Amino acid sequence: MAEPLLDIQDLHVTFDGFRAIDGITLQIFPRTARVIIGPNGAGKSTLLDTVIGRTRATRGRVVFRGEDVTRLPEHRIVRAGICRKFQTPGVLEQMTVHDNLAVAVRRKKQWWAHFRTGLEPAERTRVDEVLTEIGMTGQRDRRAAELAHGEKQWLEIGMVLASDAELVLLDEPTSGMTPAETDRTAALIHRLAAHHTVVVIDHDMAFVEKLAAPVTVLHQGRVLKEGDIQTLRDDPEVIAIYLGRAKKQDRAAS
Amino acid sequence: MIRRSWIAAALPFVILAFAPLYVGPYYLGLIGRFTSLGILAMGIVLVWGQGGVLPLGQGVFFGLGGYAMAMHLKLVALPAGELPDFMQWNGLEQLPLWWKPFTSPVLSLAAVIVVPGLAAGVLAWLVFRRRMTSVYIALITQALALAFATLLISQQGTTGGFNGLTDYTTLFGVPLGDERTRTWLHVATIVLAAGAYFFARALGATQAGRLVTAVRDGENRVRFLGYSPAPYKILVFIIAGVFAGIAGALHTLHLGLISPAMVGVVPSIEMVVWVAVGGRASLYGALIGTLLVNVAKDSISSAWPDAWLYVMGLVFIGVVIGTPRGLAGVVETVAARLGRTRVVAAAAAAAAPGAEPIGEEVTTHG
Repeated sequence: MAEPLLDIQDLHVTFDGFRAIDGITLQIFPRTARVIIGPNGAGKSTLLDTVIGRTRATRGRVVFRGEDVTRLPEHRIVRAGICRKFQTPGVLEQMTVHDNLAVAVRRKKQWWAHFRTGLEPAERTRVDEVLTEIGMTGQRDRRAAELAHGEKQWLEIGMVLASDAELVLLDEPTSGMTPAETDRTAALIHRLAAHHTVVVIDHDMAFVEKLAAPVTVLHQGRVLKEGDIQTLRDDPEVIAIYLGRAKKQDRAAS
Repeated sequence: MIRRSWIAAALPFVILAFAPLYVGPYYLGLIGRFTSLGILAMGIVLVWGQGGVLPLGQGVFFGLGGYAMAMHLKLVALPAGELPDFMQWNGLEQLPLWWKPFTSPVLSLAAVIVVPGLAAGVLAWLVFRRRMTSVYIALITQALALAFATLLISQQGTTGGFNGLTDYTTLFGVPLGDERTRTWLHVATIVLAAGAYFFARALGATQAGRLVTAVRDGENRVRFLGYSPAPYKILVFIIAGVFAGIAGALHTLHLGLISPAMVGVVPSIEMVVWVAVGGRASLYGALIGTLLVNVAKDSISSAWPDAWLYVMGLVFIGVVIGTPRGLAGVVETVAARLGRTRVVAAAAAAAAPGAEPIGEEVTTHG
């Protein structure tokens, strides 16, 4: 078996005694996609936060490409090749779509390399490619603040793409999207998975089914089950903690 | 198009540089002083308007530059071997060691730039490395301004205390009061202000400049794209510190005095008010704001000395509530409403306000 790209080893994260992550071990292999689901508070976002260095592990290790990145500063983890899309779109509102991507596409991230005005030719090509990929060529010069919510989500996915990170972490990429937008996002992630390793967190079961990737179910900071979505849907334990709750809510709502 | 807007931006500086030909000595002195302060204001635009960090202690860097200049002027005004008057009154028998470099004009000029730059760099490094938020930085810089002014007052024997440093005679061997010296000092001030303006503008066009704004809008997003945000903030903080130092040195030359009353808490807040009035995101706005507020201060405090602080407070509140982007914001909105294209509006915002209020001020007073 190949070396895992991301190797999470017995990870623990505690906030003031609350065990947000309580011993997760998870391996992600190169050029694969993985979906992580689980009810609110299961530790999904915290898991991504810990991988990217926003939250620090109290115990355990995060190993990326054989290198222990558990204690690296955030920007160094990113430079190692991990990029994260946040749940609420984290685009740079006062800048244009193009400039957002220009910030993301720069290969040299050291401050002393930034006293020129333009991008390298290869970087310029890459920005144009990403604009096409996310279908926003026409919005190149609009300010990000003027974009619709779904467009902001795509722009941020575009920024993650432009960064050419080997491992892409997407936190609820379809939150706030219409069904049509969700379909488009699923197709985008499919294409992404051809060149990157993708980890997606989401709530939307229809979307998760479309991704057709192995699923990991988290519950109370632990891995509850792993498998494909069709099997997991019928799993009584998963239904009890997650789908069942959703069904109950559906019934209450209708 | 870009080149034309740069020429338009340079025009007011050229007109101002020729001011000795069309205004009297009193108003020439005012223009020189307020333009010096405008250099400091442009530094605040970089830190506050573009970087999103409110600096409430720019008086410190202004003072460091101002005192460096003043110490030199004080020393060259003395007969050989004598101590400055205030040192004699305080019973000092020898020139303190840290005063000695200021006998050299070259070292003094270097100190005007290096000392404030270094101080700003160390402060910025400490606060930004620790990821302090804007509110804490505002408080820390404010406290620093208080401490700096208090220190200057308490060390009367070596700093001149509350009275500061005054009674200068010559600069680089030429008498300071001489009309030709005043003219050259005026031209040098305008050239330095123009230099600061174009430097700041060119910086804004680089990727580093864009990242300063990007860090303001989404520090975490930038960090999680692989950038370390601190260097960009430290960079603009140092530039603002150097601008303030140069402003302090020029202002000291124009006014013939530097004292703790110009570097403490209230002056530091006033500096932010100039920029808020003119428009914190606009370099030209900051220049105009500095000129307008200081002209108002000059006329109000000579007619009615107690009223100034209240007027300034009201103006600040009015601007913050009414037009958060200051006069530059008003101009931009009006220009946009006139239905012009964006490019023309931006060019107009950069050029028009520069020509008008300055010209007005010059003609009505002169």
